[in-house]
Amino acid sequence: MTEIKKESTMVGSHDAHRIPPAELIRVGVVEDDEAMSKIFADAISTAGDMKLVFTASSREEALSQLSENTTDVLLTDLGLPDGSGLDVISAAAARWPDCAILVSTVFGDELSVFRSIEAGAQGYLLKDTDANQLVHEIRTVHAGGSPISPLVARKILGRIGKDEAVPTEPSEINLTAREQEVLHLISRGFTADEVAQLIGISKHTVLTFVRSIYRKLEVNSKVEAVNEARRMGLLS
Amino acid sequence: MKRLGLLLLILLGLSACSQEPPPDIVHWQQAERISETADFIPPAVLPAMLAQPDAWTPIKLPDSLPRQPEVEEAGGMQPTQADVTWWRLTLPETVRAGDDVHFYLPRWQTVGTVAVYADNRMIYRTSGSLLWNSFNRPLWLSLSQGGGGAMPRTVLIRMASEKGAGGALSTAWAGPAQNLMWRYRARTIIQVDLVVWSSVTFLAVGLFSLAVFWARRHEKIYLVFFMLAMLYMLRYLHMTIGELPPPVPDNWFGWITINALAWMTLCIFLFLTWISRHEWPVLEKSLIIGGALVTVATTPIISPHLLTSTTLPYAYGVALLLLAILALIGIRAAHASKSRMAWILALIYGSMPIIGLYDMAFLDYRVNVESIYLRPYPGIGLIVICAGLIYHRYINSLKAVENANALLAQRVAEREAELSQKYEQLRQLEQQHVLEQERQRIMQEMHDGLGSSLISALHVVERGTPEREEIAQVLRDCIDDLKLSLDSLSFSESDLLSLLATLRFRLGSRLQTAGVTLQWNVADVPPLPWLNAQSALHILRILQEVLANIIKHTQASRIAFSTHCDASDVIVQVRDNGHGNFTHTFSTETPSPSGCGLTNIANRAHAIGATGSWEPTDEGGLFTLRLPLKKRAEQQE
Repeated sequence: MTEIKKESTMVGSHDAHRIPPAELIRVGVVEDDEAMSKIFADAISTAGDMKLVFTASSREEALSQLSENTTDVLLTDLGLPDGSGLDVISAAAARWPDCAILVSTVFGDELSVFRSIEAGAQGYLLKDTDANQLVHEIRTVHAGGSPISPLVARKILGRIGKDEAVPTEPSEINLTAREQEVLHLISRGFTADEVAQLIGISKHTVLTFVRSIYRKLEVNSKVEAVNEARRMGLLS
Repeated sequence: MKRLGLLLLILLGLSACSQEPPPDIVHWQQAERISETADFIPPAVLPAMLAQPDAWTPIKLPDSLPRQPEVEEAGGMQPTQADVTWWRLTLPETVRAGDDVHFYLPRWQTVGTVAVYADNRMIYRTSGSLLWNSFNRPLWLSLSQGGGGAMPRTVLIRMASEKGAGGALSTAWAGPAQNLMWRYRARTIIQVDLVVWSSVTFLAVGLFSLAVFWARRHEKIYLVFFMLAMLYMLRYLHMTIGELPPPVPDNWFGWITINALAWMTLCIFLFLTWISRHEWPVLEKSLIIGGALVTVATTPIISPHLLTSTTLPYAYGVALLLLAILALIGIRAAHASKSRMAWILALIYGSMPIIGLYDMAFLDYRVNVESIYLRPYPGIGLIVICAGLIYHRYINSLKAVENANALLAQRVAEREAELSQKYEQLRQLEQQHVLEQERQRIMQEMHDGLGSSLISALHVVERGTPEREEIAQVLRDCIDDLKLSLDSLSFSESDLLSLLATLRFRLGSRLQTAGVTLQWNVADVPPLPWLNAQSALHILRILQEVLANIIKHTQASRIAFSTHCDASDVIVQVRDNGHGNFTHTFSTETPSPSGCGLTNIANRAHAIGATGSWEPTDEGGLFTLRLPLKKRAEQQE
């Protein structure tokens, strides 16, 4: 068994230097809790390599802000006073295809994360994350990586039928062997760093694998929606 | 209906006889007769006396020679000598030669032999026995001598009868076959074929009934049907037997015929009482016993000379009397029963003695010999009734089965509805029970976990001026508790590593904050079938407690998780490099109170049937949790 000395990831200042100041990461925040919204805003403002382009506290406001502001990373809550954050995710994904979307959640429970990914999100963010970790997650997702938890990994493995312990749902998600290996290790409790060491790739590659897996889930969910509509006679 | 049609047929046949024939057909209603005493066997050469013109006496046809019982008694001793009667029929010129001319004699009757001569050439002689001869068969003989030769001028009929037995001769016909044949054919059908067909039909119904009786022994009526069919066949064998003598001696044949009549009478009576639902067990039994005695007593072995041509009419008489009495009883029963079938049967039954009387007069040459014996025809009615009854019972039982099936289906449906209602109630109860259990569990967790953490936080704040970091720590603990509780709620797998992964996911950042490095040395272990939301939470809490103790009390900088398994357990080990000094063993016994959070750990371990230990090592401490692969007996509910 491999020993990995360092827990989780290091927040390196070199991350910030890699992006020239001219190209600040444009972050949008959708959060109905004012205190939380402020925490997000403060963390983003102090990061230096990113700027807050808008904050919205309702679904409607979020949709209108999104239509006007180019957004690189969107943080959104799911439970909004006037509707579901899933609509905001879909709208953002449609309006800004390059926008990386993180759903902010208290528990990171696999159900809400899964639904968000299927709606077009690229990851999740736990609300009790500290400021350092927060900006790190924003940078990672902007750079093309996606966070994942053992719960979500297990759920995806169950979805593709590679884990006998989880009931299989019918699907047509085809993951590569590498992607499956990553999911398996994550579901066993190994962190992204440990996985990277175990299979001999960089941590960034691990996180891009996760992004690719999420995209497949999203595509699959859309295909399934079309199939379902066709079954129900909505499409001919 | 059948009987009506039959009567019409008979009337048609009889009326056809009285119609004026066409000129090429001769219908002899007059003849000349001469008598002598001679041998039964007809001579090849005509006796000389026939040539004497004066010897012939003109008579009218049909002709009958009355029975002379006193002569009959005396002549019984000399069976070779017979009363011989000759009838001479002259063929008129109108019947032309070469037209395939046939001679047709509707009926003759006697006890003896009959021969027919065309001029002086014998063209027919009976070949049956004296008593059971072919009296019931019309004669159909060719008069043409082949090759269009000359026609005979006379037809001579020689009847040799037992002494005093008498005889009868119908009118006779001659003419071209194609014109005459239908008369012969119609009479044959009515007189012979119809009886044969009904015998066969009745026999088929009877055999079917026998098969039914074989399967259902308590339904004796089917046996009665079969007996009736057999008896009917035996009874009228003498009318259908044909030219040849019967296959058994005459006296045996007579015994069969007369007993068949008696038993038929009895069987119809039984049938009638059954159909009228009127039972006379004593009468029926005594009739059967009496019948059996008579049958035995009349066998030719016991009474060789009882049933001869002489005594047969008397035997018929006795049988008829019995029939008449039983018919009366039967009619009364049928009347009382008000059953239509019973009435029809009773009518048939009642007609039998009347028909019998008529037939006896016929047998005694008191009725025109050209008439026919009527007694077989009620049998056709019997067949119809038997078949009709069987048909009714069949249809009724089919209906009954259908009704029973419908009833059964209805009852099954009712029972199913009842069961599903009960099942639904049970399911609801079960659901309530599960909900209740889950509610209790969650309450317990809220109380022990989040609740007590919040209360500690409250106390910390109320105590005065708490450290910021202290409050933050308490709140973090609250959030961790809440997260672990929620994770365990959604946990429904038997995979321990998933559970440990969840633990790491939730608590990893806390360890990092506390400056502890986590080593993750887990290996795949077999699934634990008993793992459910509740036991998962116990395991999570145990390990959470262990980690909390290590962080609080040992100043460890490194914690290593590892898993492996042996024959009976999956083993989780948590190794630290701190200087805590925990020594404790968790057995499956009910835990005794001990310090710190160890009681909690012991209780939870006990709840899931796990054992373990916490002991110091050279480097620090080693916590071991042994989770059984199979739930231990005392843990099973």
